[in-house]
Amino acid sequence: MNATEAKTILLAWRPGHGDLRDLEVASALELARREPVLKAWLERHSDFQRAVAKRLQEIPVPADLRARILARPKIIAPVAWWRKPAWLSAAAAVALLLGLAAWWVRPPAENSLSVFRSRMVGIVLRQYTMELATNDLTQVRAYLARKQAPADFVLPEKLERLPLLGADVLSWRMERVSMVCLESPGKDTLFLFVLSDTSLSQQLPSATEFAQVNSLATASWTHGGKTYMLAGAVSRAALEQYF
Amino acid sequence: MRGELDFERLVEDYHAPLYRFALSLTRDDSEAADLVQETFYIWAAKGHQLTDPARVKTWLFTTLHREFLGKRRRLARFPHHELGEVETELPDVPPAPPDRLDWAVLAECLAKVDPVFQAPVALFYLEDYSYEQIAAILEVPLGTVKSRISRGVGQLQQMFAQRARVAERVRTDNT
Repeated sequence: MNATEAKTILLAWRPGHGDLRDLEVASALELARREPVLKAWLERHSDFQRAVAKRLQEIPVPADLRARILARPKIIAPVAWWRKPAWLSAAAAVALLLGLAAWWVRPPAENSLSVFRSRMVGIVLRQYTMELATNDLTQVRAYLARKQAPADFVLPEKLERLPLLGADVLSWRMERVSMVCLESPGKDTLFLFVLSDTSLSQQLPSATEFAQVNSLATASWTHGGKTYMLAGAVSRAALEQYF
Repeated sequence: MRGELDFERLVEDYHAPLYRFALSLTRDDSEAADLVQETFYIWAAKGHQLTDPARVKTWLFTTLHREFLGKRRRLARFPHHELGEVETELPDVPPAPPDRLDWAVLAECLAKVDPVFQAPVALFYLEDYSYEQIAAILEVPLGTVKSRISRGVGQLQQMFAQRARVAERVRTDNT
């Protein structure tokens, strides 16, 4: 190894780092100990490395970044039932039995667009899962089709241009609902729900219907035998631009 | 590594190093913050697939880097350099670092480094990662990582040396 080769290797060496385990680095450092010119070069190089590392490690982080990350709508990744603790499974079974009992004795729920809207918004505002995370529409359609949820949806042109984040399948009165997550230009997550028209009892409006549900703005419309509902923590005007 | 508490812990532990890595790549505050948020978003959706908790940090850095590459659409154009090709870029004398290295100056110099070298150089300086770990994060062979760091640092030193020469010339002209 000559001095030029040693310099090449030592350019990728950090003083005080375990790179010494690397045989090439160890040989280059050994050569620098014996050759005064190379030794002087190495001392100056080490100062440079330390200064750059120190400055990069001191980059200030925005004070609100952590809060901004945690403030995004909560997404809890699905956990397989066999990974859940036994007591959780038992509690889930009890809750399921109670739920079934309540279901048998309850009055029939209104099968309307407003109830559908509230239910979907409720899911988003609590915690929801997004089983598929992708920006590929083909993958989203294939996933939804595989899950027997509406997959051949048609979006208004402006909405179709938004980047995809992923998808999941929900259920509404024994019907599958496609949930597709999109990202607005302002980096807000928009939730698109697609449902078969036959799932709702009422006559649906032909024009897009805007409604505020809790803290989310929603837009609902029908097209090609399907009901669509778009929701997001944005203003009504922000949704209107897509129609 | 499951559940909301774990997620908060992850954000607490890693949002700062991820942000610094993102800023080193983008040199844009808001783009860096977006990349970090996106990385945690992907973690929330896909992190459960990771079975080894020891690999979480590497996974987060890899994901952030992939997102960055995806946004820049450069992946296919990245060339592969072997260590032997580096010699022509070696500076004769490493520049003396200024007493107080300004981030704006460093960012300007980093921006001029070949884009393919920027991520390995940033990880090299920012994190206590071994070459093997940097190779795993960037999903490139070990030899490639070494050569990219070497060439990137070489280019960085050239930028600083050039700045020092210009500053010296201005000083001479003024006297």
